[in-house]
Amino acid sequence: MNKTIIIGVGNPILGDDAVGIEVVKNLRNKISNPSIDIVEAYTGGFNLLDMFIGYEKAIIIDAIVSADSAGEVKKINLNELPKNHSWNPHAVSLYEALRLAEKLGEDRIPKEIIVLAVMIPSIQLEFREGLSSIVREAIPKAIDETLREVNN
Amino acid sequence: MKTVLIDPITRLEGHGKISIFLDDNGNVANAYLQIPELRGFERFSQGRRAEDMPQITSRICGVCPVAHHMASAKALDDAFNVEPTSTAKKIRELMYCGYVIYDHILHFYFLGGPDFIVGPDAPPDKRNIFGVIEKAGIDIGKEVIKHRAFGQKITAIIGGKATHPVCGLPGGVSKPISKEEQKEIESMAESCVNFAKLSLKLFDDIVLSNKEYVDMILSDPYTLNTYNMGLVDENNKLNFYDGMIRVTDQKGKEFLKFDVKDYYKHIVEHVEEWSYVKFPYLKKIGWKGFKDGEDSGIYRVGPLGRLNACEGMATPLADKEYKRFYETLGGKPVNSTLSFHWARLIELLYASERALELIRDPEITSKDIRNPVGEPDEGFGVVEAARGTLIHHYKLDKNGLIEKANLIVATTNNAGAINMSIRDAAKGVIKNGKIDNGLLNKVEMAFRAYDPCFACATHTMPGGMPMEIKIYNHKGEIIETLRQG
Repeated sequence: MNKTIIIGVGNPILGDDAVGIEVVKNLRNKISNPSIDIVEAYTGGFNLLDMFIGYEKAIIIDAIVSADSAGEVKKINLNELPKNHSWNPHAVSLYEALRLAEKLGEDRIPKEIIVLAVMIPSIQLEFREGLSSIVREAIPKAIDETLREVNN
Repeated sequence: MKTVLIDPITRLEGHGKISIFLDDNGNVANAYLQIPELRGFERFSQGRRAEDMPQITSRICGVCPVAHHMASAKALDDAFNVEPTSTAKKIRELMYCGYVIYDHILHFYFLGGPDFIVGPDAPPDKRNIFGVIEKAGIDIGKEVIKHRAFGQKITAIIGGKATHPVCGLPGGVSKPISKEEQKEIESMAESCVNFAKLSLKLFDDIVLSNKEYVDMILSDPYTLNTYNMGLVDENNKLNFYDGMIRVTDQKGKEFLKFDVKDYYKHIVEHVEEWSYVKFPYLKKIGWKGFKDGEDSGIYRVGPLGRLNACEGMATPLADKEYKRFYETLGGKPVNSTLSFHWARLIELLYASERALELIRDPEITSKDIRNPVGEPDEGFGVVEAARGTLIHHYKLDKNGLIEKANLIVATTNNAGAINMSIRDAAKGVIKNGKIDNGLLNKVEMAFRAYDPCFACATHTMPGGMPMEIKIYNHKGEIIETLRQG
């Protein structure tokens, strides 16, 4: 198994929510190292844990809603991830899934889990393809940040 | 005004709020649940190639893509006038069992069940899988993880991808099951049957043996006498993948039984100006407001709706549990919202047993997995998603492009009932202007039992959006805001 996995998270048909997917699509041309896996995840929470278990390093790229800092790219600490049940009662948070894996003695959790967030201006509620310009313009920065984390 | 802030960091799935209005005596007059609805799917699908719909619709929801994929594949069978081969139907149903297995496990152990196993008065940070482990032991936690992964693995082997299947095609599926895969799935399904039995025993030991819990399950604030709806096979036994849509009344008698092609003759959607979500009801009865009883067309779907709408389970162990369910809770139908949790575990057992039956079927490894398609026209597809009846309806043009698409998703079917359950739970804890501390928990338990999906799909990470309840006095002034994460 490869050592590093890069996961772009998003919904490809929900506007700016797709930014994580778009970032990893672009990354494929920039990373030739065959020991790095690049995947798209149209899902969250528990399913992400399934994807990165067994790797040494996982880099997750997702969207976060922030009207004030739309277009920025931020590194998020794991302990800033949602901790509790969400208001939507049927998704388990990544934080909860990770904590559970630790508690049950799972020894294949990556030593390094990095979450890079691209700030998007609003909650996406309308099905459409394509990003708003402010989010699209953040992609090169998100790519640079990801490459920096890969080499770090 | 008092604000209770418990944990502001939650996964954001969209804005949602509950407004409770009191009368001039300080008792609950009305309650409204407002949730966002993802919009524009119909427009989004127009002009797309119909055969892409199983992939596109599975993107609607990041949590339950399999249900959309399957409803879509079935709608395409119908639209292209083709019947899948017998093996293809079995492969699809088997994959679907895998989905029900992991989804029901997730809900029971992580999301809804903890309210119950850990207790309704426990603080929110205990009402999760960690609280369950504390109460039931760490080995249960390991079994939970293992079997959730088994359910997921079954769908991944057949579906071709871990979360978003690519196997469903009009007329069948894209690849057969190999002998090696058969062996692997069989051992996982066997293990799931045992795990389901263990889960039912846990429910017995922790919930049913506790009189306080049983009293709460059967209490008025958690009871709704609505119609019930679910898919049944030719013997009126519950089926997740196929069959007729059956509706039973408040006495448990059959009220309607129809093919999905006729759904619009029987189901109408009511619009309320305060809500993005529409409220489906039975056309024959009519919309009478947020009321239960035989004169109101509101119905329930999901595990409890399905158990009430059928006449038993098609597998032996689950059928035994089905009978015990009704014996214990006072006969059919059971109208206690909190018994959704027990019903869910009985369905977990059924899905596991059914998966085992299907994988042991000699035909399951046949290579005869697809029939040729005919001319395109109109198609209807229905499945039972984990949380209730899901309908896809497409109109195609002569080139096989989508002209019109309409979906009725499971949580929408339950929207009227969820709203009433929230109101009734609030009534139980707000008396003469006095608001009980347990309000948030009790209201949360009421809607969580349905395993609702609010704004399917938005998984954008959080800015922080906890459940919020605003309470208004009879003059319409906010007297209290409560929040829970």
